[in-house]
Amino acid sequence: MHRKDFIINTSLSLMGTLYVPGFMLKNEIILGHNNKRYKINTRWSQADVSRNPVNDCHEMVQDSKGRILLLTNETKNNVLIYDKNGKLLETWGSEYPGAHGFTLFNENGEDVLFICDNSRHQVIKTTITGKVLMVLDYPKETGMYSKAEEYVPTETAIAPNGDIYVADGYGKDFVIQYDARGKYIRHFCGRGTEEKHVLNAHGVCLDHRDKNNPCLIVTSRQQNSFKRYSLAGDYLSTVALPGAWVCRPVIKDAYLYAAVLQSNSRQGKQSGFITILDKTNKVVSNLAGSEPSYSGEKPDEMYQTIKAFQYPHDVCIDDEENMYVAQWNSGKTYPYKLEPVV
Amino acid sequence: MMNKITCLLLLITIFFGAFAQEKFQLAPPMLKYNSVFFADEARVILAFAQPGTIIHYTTHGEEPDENSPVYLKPVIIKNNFITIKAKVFGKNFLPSETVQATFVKDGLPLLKVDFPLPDAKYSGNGPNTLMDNKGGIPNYSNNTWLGFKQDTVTVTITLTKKRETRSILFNLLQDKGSWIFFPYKAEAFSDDKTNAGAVKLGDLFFKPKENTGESICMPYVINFKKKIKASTITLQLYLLKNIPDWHPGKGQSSWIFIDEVKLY
Repeated sequence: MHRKDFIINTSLSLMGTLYVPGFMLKNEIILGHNNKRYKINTRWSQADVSRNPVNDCHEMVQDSKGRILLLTNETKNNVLIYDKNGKLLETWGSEYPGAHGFTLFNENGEDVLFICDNSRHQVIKTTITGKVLMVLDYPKETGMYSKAEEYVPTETAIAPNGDIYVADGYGKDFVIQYDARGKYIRHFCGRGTEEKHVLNAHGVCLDHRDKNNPCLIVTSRQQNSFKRYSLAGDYLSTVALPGAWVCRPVIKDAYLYAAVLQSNSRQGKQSGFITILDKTNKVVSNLAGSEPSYSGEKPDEMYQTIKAFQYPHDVCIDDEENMYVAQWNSGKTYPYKLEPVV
Repeated sequence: MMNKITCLLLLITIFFGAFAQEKFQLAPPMLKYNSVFFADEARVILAFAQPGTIIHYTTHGEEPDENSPVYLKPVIIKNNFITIKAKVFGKNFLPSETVQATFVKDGLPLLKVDFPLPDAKYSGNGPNTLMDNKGGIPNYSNNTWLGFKQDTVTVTITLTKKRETRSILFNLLQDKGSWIFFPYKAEAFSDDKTNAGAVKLGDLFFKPKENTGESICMPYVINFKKKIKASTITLQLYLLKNIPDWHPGKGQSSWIFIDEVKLY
């Protein structure tokens, strides 16, 4: 073969492997099932890694201006604020070494944030620009804690009346309820052998999909389930999700979305995926996970099928139904964006 | 002229390369069985609920490829030492890593298998843990496993009566992510090793497997130099004291995990 042909052939074959422009792609990867299917963009974030690095990307929320906020335990910038196209708009925060839980609440027309800090053993309420409004220390009032270190809050949920529910997911697994001013009301969940108990209460959220019967959903991650409670902490029922180490539940319209940190069958192997439940809490889609199927009341064991994610830790659904995925311990990777396929 | 074409093509390649769709790898298939140890037969189920993908498998130890048999229904195993390897393939995806399991049929009848005190967290399922025909599950937290941190693990196997024996089998786990490695060396002795008359029957040296991130469990066999009549055999496992350089725990001490022994 002539050298020229060889070079051209080599270049063409190189093109064959690399040159796959989006408009020509016949079989673009679609993640998920049924009416919840998405295209993934792993290069959504336009942040400059040398200026605005991240460590664990723990949670994300959208504010009332439509911006996407990310909470990371990188103290160079604990909060990164993006537009929906991944452009970094601003950052703040350097005093949250254990930044983990991130909840946004619209308080009389103003966005406020609740940060759970694992290392500080505190919950901190801030304005959208990071000004501290309130700090909740470890809940002595429960009588269950003798020192701050026993309390490692992972998540908050805020009721319409302003009541604050804190999940102590890496501490003693209690959910502690306060009023809007931070006055202790009660605690529930905790560890034990009954159905009302949880193991790794990693997340908590308000479920108002049934308008007449709002309830709380608490993650019991090591039990691969969500558990439902009344707003006063009475146990209602369990949503079993065999195989799935679910993180916090995130509710948007009729659906419940959750990052699954890892598959039970492949622990410690970057085996995460995303699960979506409908308003009856039935699994309808697993993004990068097994196609949902039911043999009885519970879904069949779920597991990762595509290595699109490593350890997803939270999802955020924006006003246009796009999904953002933040990941823990995944090579300091920035969040991914997933757009629904209609 | 040639240079121009070459440059242009390279530029196009680089330009579109930046926009190329990344190819994701498939996760390995689910390999389900009650235990790799069996008396009559073992039933193996492979599962992978991802439409558009195909599980290929082999039963004689070869690496599966797209010409290997397609998994359609549960595989029944009746013979000793059959290794199933399985891998998932799908258009637009990189093939999965291979999962594998080797199935082991009952050996000579045993009276008891004694072992030193394991780590409290990985203490198995009672005194019969190493002879209960349960195990081969590549998940260290499964209660079929005994986990040890001591330098030497001595396992003493007592037969129901004096019999001719020619080999010993033991099932081990490697899970690099959890610092569990195969031992550095294994040795078999006739009799209780503490007895003066104990004779070394054979040994085996191990090399940590670098190329897989998945947990693997493997049965290993030491064939004795000659058949012997014995009522007691000792197996000694020597901890890998220096984790290899390619591992984050390099130079540090590892774990030994074992879940079954058999004599033939």
